[in-house]
Order: sequence, then C-alpha cells, then structure tokens
Amino acid sequence: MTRELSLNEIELTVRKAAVACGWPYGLAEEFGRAALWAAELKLAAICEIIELARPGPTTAEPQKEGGRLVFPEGVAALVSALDYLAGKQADEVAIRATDSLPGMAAFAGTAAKSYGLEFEVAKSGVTLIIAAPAHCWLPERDIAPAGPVTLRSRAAPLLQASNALAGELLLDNGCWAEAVALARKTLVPETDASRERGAGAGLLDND
Amino acid sequence: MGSFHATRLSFMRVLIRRLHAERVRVQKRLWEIDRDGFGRAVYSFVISGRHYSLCAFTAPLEPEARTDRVIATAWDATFALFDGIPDGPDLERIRANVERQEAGRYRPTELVISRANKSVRLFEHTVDRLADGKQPDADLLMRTGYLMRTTAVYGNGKFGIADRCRISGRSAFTAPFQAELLTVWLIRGFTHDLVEHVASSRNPGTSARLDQVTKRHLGIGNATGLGMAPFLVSHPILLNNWMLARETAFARVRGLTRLTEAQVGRAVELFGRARRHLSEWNVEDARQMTRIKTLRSELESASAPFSEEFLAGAFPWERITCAASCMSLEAQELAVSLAIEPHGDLVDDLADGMSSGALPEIDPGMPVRELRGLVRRNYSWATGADYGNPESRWYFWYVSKEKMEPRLGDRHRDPGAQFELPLDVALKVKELSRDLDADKADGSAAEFLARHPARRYAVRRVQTSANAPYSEIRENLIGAECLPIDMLRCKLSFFGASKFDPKSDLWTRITMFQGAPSFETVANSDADDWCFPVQGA
Repeated sequence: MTRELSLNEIELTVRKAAVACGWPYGLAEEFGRAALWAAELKLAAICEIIELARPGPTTAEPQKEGGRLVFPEGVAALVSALDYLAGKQADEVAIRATDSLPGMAAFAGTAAKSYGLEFEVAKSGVTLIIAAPAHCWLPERDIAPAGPVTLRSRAAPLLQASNALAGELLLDNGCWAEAVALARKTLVPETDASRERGAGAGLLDND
Repeated sequence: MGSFHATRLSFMRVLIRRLHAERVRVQKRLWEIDRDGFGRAVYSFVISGRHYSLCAFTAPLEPEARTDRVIATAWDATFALFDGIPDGPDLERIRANVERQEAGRYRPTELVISRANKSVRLFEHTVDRLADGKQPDADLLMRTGYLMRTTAVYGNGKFGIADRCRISGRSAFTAPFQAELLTVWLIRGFTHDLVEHVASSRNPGTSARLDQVTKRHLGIGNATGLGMAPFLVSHPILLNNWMLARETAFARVRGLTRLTEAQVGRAVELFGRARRHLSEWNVEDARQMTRIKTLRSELESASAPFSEEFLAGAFPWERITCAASCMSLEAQELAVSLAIEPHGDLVDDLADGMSSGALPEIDPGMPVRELRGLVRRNYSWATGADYGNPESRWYFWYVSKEKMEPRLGDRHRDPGAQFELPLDVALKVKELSRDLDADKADGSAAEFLARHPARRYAVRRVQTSANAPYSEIRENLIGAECLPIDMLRCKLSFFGASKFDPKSDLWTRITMFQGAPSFETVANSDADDWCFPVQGA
C-alpha cells in the first residue's frame, strides 16, 4: 500500500524521527533534507534513510590511512565526509562501511544540492554519480550488504530543470508508519497545567 | 519587533496591488446556502492566467463549541483554496475533509485550508440591521471590525496540501504568503455575501446590502497564537529578507532631499488618518492600551513635524526620524510606516526580494578563526548571558501531542524538555563558542564539525549571519523575560495586520484587510490606499 504525502510532510517527519532517535538537531536536519531530496526525485530511499536514523555511531572524525582520509561508518561520519569534500579538505575520501547505498546517495544528493557539486560514489567496482536536482542513478538492488565506499567530488555541470514534482508522490505505508511513530515521540503530551498555559487558555473566545 | 506596524511592503498590500493590476474578477460559481446561512459556496477567478476557486462550507455550531483555540473540533465555516475549478466529486471530497481541518487529508489541488468563527457581537447584529434595511451600528462596527475570525490558515504541504514549491514559481504567488492571504481576502468577501444573504432571506422585500464604505471597514479577524512564533526562528533567511526590505525602504526615503508638493500633501493626509486610526484602536489589555494612549499623545505633540512647512524642508523624513527617536517604540515604528507610505514608486520593488527559497547552509571550507570572528561580532548578545542562572533557561518550546500546537513549557516543572524545539539559539551559540574556545586547533569548519558534530545547527546559523544581518532575533527566547507576543506582532505586521489586540503574552487578536477593497472595488483607482484604516472612509 502507498499513501500520498507532501514534500513538507516527508522532510519534517523524517527530521523529527531523527530527533526522536537522539540525533542532535543539526544532523536531524540533514536527515530531513536527505528525505526531501529523495522524495523530489521519487527515489525509493526514504525507508533506508529512516533505517539510518536508528541510534548508531556518532563519531565523525577521519583517520589517515595510506595517505587517504578514512571515515568511520554512520551518518555523522558520512555528513562529515561530504563536508570535507565540499570544503576541499580532500579530493577523495573513504568511508569504512555503509549498509545502505540508496540512503547514502540521498545524503550525498543533499550535499550536491547545497554545494553545487557532483559526488562520485564507488562501491564494489560500481560507480554512482549523484548530482542535484537533475539526476541520480541507483542500481535496482544494493551492490553488496556492507562494505567500504570511496567518495569523490567535482564541480557540477550546468543542471537541467527538474520535473520532480510532476505526478503524485507515494510512499510505502509500513515504512512511513514507522517514521510517523518515531516523529510522534517528539510531541509532548498535554497536562491540565499545560492546557491552562496554552495560548488563549482561560479566556472567553467569543466576542 | 513588538512595536511594528504594517507598511506598504506588507504582504496583504502586495496582494491587493496585484489583484488591482490584473483587474481580478471574483465570480460566484456556486451558491447553495440556505436561508439560515448554512451550505456551500464556490467563488472562482483568474490570476496571472490561471483559475483558482475558494470553496466555502458553513454549518450550525453550538455556542459552547465555538472556540478560537487550535484544540477546537468544529467551526462556523471551513474553507479551501482550490487550484482550478472544482467539480462535484472534488467538492464532496473537500467538504468531507475540510470540515475536519487538521484531521482531514488533502491533495495537491488544495493550496490552502482554513476555518472561521462568527463574531458573536457583530454577525447577528449586522444580519438584523440589514434585514431592517439599515447598516450596522457604527460604534459596534468600530469596536469589532469583522464578521468572522479565522483561527488557522494552513498551506505549504500541511496534511497533504500542495507544497509551496509547487506554486512559488507562479508570479501570483512569488511573494510570501500570497496564497494564504488571498484565501483570507476571499473569506472576507464571503462573509459580506453571507450576511447579505441571511438578511435578505429574513426580509426579502426591504433588506439592505452592505454599503461599500461599511464593506471596506469589515475585515477578517484572526486569533494568532504561539504557532506563528517558531516560524521566524526556523526561517532566518526569510526573516532577514523581510527586515532588509523594510530597512532599505526606510533608508531610501530618509535619503530623499525634498518631497514634491503632492508628496507633502499625501504625508499630511496620512498623518491625520493615522491619528484617527489610533483613536479607533482600543483594546482591553492594559499594557497595550497604555502604549496606544502614549502613542496618541505623542502624535498630538508631533503635529509640527507633520505640517506642510516642515515636510517641505530638506531631508524631511530624516528629520522626522530624529524627532521620533526620543518617543516610544510604537511611535518610532509608526514613523517608519508613515515615511514609506507615500513613496511606492521608490520602494515597492523591494517586495520582490522578500521571498526566499534559499536554506541556511554550512560553509565547510570556512576557516575556524573566521567562524570565531562571526560569533564575536554577531552573537555577543547570546554569548554574554549567564545560562547558569535559572531565569536564562526558564522556558522551552515544544509541540503538543494532542493538537500539534507549539507551546511554551516551564523547564522547572513541565515534562518534555528533552524534545524542545531549537528556539534556544542563544544557548546553542554560547555552547558553540565554548567549544570553539576550547578547541585550539585551527583548520576548517568541516574539521571542527567532525570533532563536534553536535554543533552543526549553531554553526549553520552563525555562518548564515555573515550575509544575512537580520537573520537572528537577538533575544534569549527561552529566558524568563521572553515575550512571544512581540514575535507574533512582528510577523503579523509583515502580513499587513492592524488593530493588534493582545489577549495575553501568548496570543493576540488582529484584523486583516480592514480598509481593503472588496470584490467589487478591487479594480478601483484607490485600491492601494488603505493603510491606517478608519471607519467611514
């Protein structure tokens, strides 16, 4: 089953889901943006992004190995790796392992959109080019369950206009229900006292 | 921010200028309203080559169920702005959902949804008077100013509604909140038609219609609460663009060496109108009423600067600004609105720059020393506070589970602070500053963030401030001294609201489109002349 959602709903819900999983707000924003990027391109990556939001490694500093920067696994490290490439701290970096190539592609796509770059993602001999907003090619199935990834950046060519908003945006119901359930954890149940202190409380609304 | 008044750059003014320029004609496509005013209606029109429709639904509502709070579950009227002209199935689907508001699901064909409640004071009175062939009582009209109040206006993807990006490329909706404010203007017109209809049903032979002067003075009321406040913090570039346009407009007029004779006359006229407007602005809130009374007496003493002789001199607006600088904040901000108003040819273009699709971004290559410099230059207001003092961390902002409504919690006694919204910008920048000081390494922002990934939000905001000087509300928004009402008034002034009527520190009543042209008069030559609305004008 699928359901129709707005881009705004997708971004905000995934962001809140990341907050509920304990991510600091700045990184939760990256989750939301990644989901938005995937949604704009109608990529089946949102479920992977939600999976990546589960509590995991939070270290992001790279180590130098054989003249190359190697980042640990996890989204915090991935975001840092993309920062390094965009900030020209390196032309090529490695990430120790990634479970989800579509999810990773979404974060790279967000960075491509933000920085006006293209990213090359190489895993198991297959190279993906990720650029925003024009195009992103993903294999039909993930190349390998987990493994190291090489990430490179380069300047993006002039991009064509995207028609990503054409047609309806649909999402798997089970995956979305999980995101909504996580997002709802960030909502605070009301108490009698909080209702009383809410805006407009205790006043006669009729005039 | 808590003393701003509407200006000609306000979004309602921008909207009306467009409707006037295009001579938009609103047509009643469907009117299935019974004699008591219940049923459905559709208004359709064309803007910039595209059709749009307001779908309106009214139903009986028990008085005890009528509340403006977001927790309401029923309303006198519900609405949707439809992208195109709805057919029968569209209307049925819209009605089934819009009467449930937040509990409904919508499609991208719905651009905006809203709801409104009657003014108990004025609605029935107006029906009775019109049924008797008379206009509503002038005093009651002045004290209320609207037949209905909207209590929420939703757009941009909420509940499945069209995302803003779907329409922002259309020239009609480039400026901020145009779809939402268009909906409110249409609702206003519907309320005029509704009272006339019910009155006519009661007394077909001799009922009157609202005269145009009365129609212009009937705006749409609104109850605005905390929900609007986080927007200003979560959209720093947009806030910057609004402020920048306003300040640039003010700077341009201050730089005028002389006014033409026509401009002098206009300024004198506006000053007189502002004084009459203030005499009609009365509220129950003691603090706001004191401010209004102070403003009235200050304008009384300011007759000389607003004389023809004074305005005909060199740099009149600069001299008026200097004169106002020793007056109250309300007077100073009113002077800004007055100064800008006569100079549409000089400032109206600035409205084009008030929208923004840009998001705050990280600049990963920025040297850390530059980041430290930005914190020192732009955030001393944040880093200077003592956050160990309980009063500096008194509140936390959160969203309620039951109604998805932003609320302000007391950190020392309410649960939920672990999910507070990121309006604690001052504290976050202070924490960033501490880590920047402790982290002796130089290098880039990317390298700093790899060591301190939790500081990403603060770094993004600080870096944004480099090119957006008005992006931050320079206040500790979680401190005991924070007055959310000031944030509400600022945003509402940019909308173009007037007659701010605070009901607490957390919400305010306002009137929108009071003085604005109606469906019938939006093509008239005076369509843009409705600042400082006064009764009988």
